[in-house]
Amino acid sequence: MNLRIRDVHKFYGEQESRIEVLKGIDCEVSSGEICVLLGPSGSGKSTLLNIIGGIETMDSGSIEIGDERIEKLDEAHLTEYRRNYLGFVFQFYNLIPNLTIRENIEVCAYLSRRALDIDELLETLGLSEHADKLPSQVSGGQQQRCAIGRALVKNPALLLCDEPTGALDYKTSKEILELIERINAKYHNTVIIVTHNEAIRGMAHRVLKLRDGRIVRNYVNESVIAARDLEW
Amino acid sequence: MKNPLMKRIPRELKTNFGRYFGMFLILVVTIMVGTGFQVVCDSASETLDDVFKTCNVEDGYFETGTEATALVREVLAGEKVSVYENFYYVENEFDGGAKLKVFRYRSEVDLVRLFEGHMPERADEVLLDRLVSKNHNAPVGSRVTLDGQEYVVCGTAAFSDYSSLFKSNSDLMMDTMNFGVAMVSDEGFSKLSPDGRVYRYSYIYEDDSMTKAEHLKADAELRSRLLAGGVQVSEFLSAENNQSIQFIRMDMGKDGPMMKILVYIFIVVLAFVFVVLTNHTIEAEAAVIGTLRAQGFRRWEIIRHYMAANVLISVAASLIGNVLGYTLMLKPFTGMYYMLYSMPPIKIRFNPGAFLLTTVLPMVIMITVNAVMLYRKLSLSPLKFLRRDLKKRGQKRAVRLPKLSFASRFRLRVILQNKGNYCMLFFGVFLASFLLMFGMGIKPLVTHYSEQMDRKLNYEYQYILKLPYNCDGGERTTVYSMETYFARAKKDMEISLIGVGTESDFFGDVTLPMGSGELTVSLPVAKKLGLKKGDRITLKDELQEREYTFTVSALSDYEATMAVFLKKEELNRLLGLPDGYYNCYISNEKLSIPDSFVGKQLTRADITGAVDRMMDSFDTVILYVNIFAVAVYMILMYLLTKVVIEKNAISISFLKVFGYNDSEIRRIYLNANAWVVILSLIICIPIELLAFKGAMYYALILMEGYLPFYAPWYLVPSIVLIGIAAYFTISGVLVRKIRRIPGSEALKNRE
Repeated sequence: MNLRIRDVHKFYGEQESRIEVLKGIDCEVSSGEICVLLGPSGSGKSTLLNIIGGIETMDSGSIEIGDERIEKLDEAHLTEYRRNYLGFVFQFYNLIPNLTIRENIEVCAYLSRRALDIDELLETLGLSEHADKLPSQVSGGQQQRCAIGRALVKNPALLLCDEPTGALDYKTSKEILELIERINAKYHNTVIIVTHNEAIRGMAHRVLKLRDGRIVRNYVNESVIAARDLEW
Repeated sequence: MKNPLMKRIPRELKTNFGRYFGMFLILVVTIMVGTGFQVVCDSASETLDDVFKTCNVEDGYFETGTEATALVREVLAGEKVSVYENFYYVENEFDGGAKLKVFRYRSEVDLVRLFEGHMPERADEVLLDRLVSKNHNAPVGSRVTLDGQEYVVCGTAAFSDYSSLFKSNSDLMMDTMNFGVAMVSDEGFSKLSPDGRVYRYSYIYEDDSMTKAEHLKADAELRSRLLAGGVQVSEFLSAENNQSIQFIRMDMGKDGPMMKILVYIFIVVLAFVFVVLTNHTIEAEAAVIGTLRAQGFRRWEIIRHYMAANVLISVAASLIGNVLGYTLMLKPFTGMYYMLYSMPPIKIRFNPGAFLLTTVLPMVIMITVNAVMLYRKLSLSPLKFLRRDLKKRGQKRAVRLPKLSFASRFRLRVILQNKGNYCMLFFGVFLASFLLMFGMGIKPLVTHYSEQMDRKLNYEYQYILKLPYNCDGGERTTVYSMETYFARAKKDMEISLIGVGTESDFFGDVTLPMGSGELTVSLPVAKKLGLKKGDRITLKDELQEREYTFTVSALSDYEATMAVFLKKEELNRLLGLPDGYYNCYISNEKLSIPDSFVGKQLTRADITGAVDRMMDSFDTVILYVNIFAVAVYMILMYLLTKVVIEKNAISISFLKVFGYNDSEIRRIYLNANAWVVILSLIICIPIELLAFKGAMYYALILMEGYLPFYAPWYLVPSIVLIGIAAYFTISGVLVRKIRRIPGSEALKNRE
């Protein structure tokens, strides 16, 4: 599903303390691409991701995903949009503590009529043997895998990842990136990863670099490298 | 696919067992009591309606000094009213001093409902009112003495015209220990001395569809006709004004709604407590909620999820409370009615109305309050939840605090941070304290009233004559009864007019009015009607169909009766009686007046003790109310203060990391709780006293007489001390909870 972003502006605060955090974002992401949004803190990358995800509103501009125009959706329709098209992965896993790994994934399978097979997904995530454990009984990396599984189980057209490796060590981070790469290859979802880790752009098909609310670089990565070969 | 979030519910119930069990317990007890009471109240009401339909209950009665059947029939010939002899003999020494009205066998009017045994057939058989039999230990088969002769108790029954055993219609309370009714056969009645006989005629109008106003009019016409026909009516009382018939209906009429209101208040408070506890869970799980919303969960799906445990507990508690109400509570509540009233056996019926009001409605209240509050709470955007920023409005500024010690400011910050919890705690404390105030205060209030009466009552005996009698000793007064309109209750109220001699030994401290058209008002009358010196009061003489308007010339602190005072000559003149007329003896000694001359005899114990004795019957109920109040204190205090500790687990953990020891942490967090509990207990006191006074005010509108508000000195300190004791009992658990929070908590979950 193609993503088309046109002249998106976003302001925070009011009157004198009003700050423009997105100053006319224009870009496109093609269906099945892995797109990395890079930029320093405060550049507006997470805000853009949240607007694409329908959990933040824009002040002007438009975002088109397939046939949907996000700016025209009210709250209820935004919920349906997220339900039908999106999967979210956050830096912190936000798993439900008193549900097992499998049940945490089932929570989002419930939202979709075309949910993936959970056993197969657990296998892909490398979580089969931990399926019946509670989040507190597994490592941070396994918890993030579970969070990715939860976002993926709906088989969403768009997978939005906000600093998915931000809370993980080097080795686990690479495992997670490999997983995202594998999933993208297997399910052909469009993946947008927000990160301040420059190295991750290596695995992206498209790279968007933001600074002070503007896209300063937007290019297609001609030499994509495998996540396992990333170094930082 | 079944929502996997549902799997959390049993785990949530298990994890927070204490919280849900505590709430469940209060809910079950509230619904159980509400249901049991409502069902018994409604069933009793239906039973009473049935009595009214089938027992031919009178529309009123009048009494004459001598038998006047022939004259009455002659006077009322052609009228659309049936008059029945309903004669009785007054036994003043039943079982050592109780007053018993022994009626001649009734077959046409005011029929009785048998409890056990059979109707009196032989001359030596007597049917006792069930309460008389119980209170005087006179079971079926035992022997009792009436007018010096032995009678065998052949059965017990409920008298349809004496469901409430009021010795006198103007009494504040029933006197089931010292007053009662009985019935003997015609032969049995003729054995009793005619001297103690009262000639009562009960009447029933042919038209049974009359409205209250039409009844009043018909009563007035009937009275006029009797008087015009020369019938010497000594007492005329319509069923509408007869406390013995009507009191139970009024009592049930007010008890039912009051109980329902109490149940609803409890349910609303509990619903808010649930909301506070759920809010805490929502705050703790904010990021999870944000994530679920971001994944596409709808707001209502999340609301339903967070309501589920509360609703489950509420529904289970409502249903179990309902079942227990129908099983466990029927006996105590029917027992309460049987103890107070002379009622026929109450047939308990399943009552869809009671089910709706005491089970379904509380569930609806609980669900609505939870749904509305959670809807508000969950109306924030997913992003706000993800950021754990659950403030509706912008960033709050820290409240500027006065220059206090660091610990005091810290405590104040804890209080400000948890103001929602503490607000609910305040309401919980108020409700429990109110119940406790009611439980602990009602008996001293009544006892104080009877002590006041005892102190103010200047005589030991009062004899109201039905025929003139000249007796040595005693003081002669004129006593007459009139009615005045009691606007607050929208009904007439009976007031005694006492004509006192100028040199009275018994009413010496009553300032008698100097002029005609003036009277002195006793304190209870003044307070009930809101009269002060110079006000005007209109009294209606129902028997003579006249109205008099008086100016209040003085107030007397004579509290023993609802009376107004005039000079005896003035009252006699007013009633058209000769100067020397009297119809009442007041004395400190027992006077020897033949029974045939005495219409009514009252002793000090009759006047002052009835209310006291009635209260003794409530001891068990009062005990239950007090236990429930203390349980509510403890459960709500525990639940709401525990949340404060849980909410601050990370801060407490930080304090431990910084080097604070357990006792220092306790001083900050538990002292904050303690201050709120103590302050709530103290602030609630004037509101509770006001509510208690309000309840009394409402009760007095429905009751005859006047019960001044009184709270003994120890009432308020006791409530505060019990509240504090309840808190310190549960604070032991909180101390353990604080001790168990590990220092390492601060180092994890720092998202």
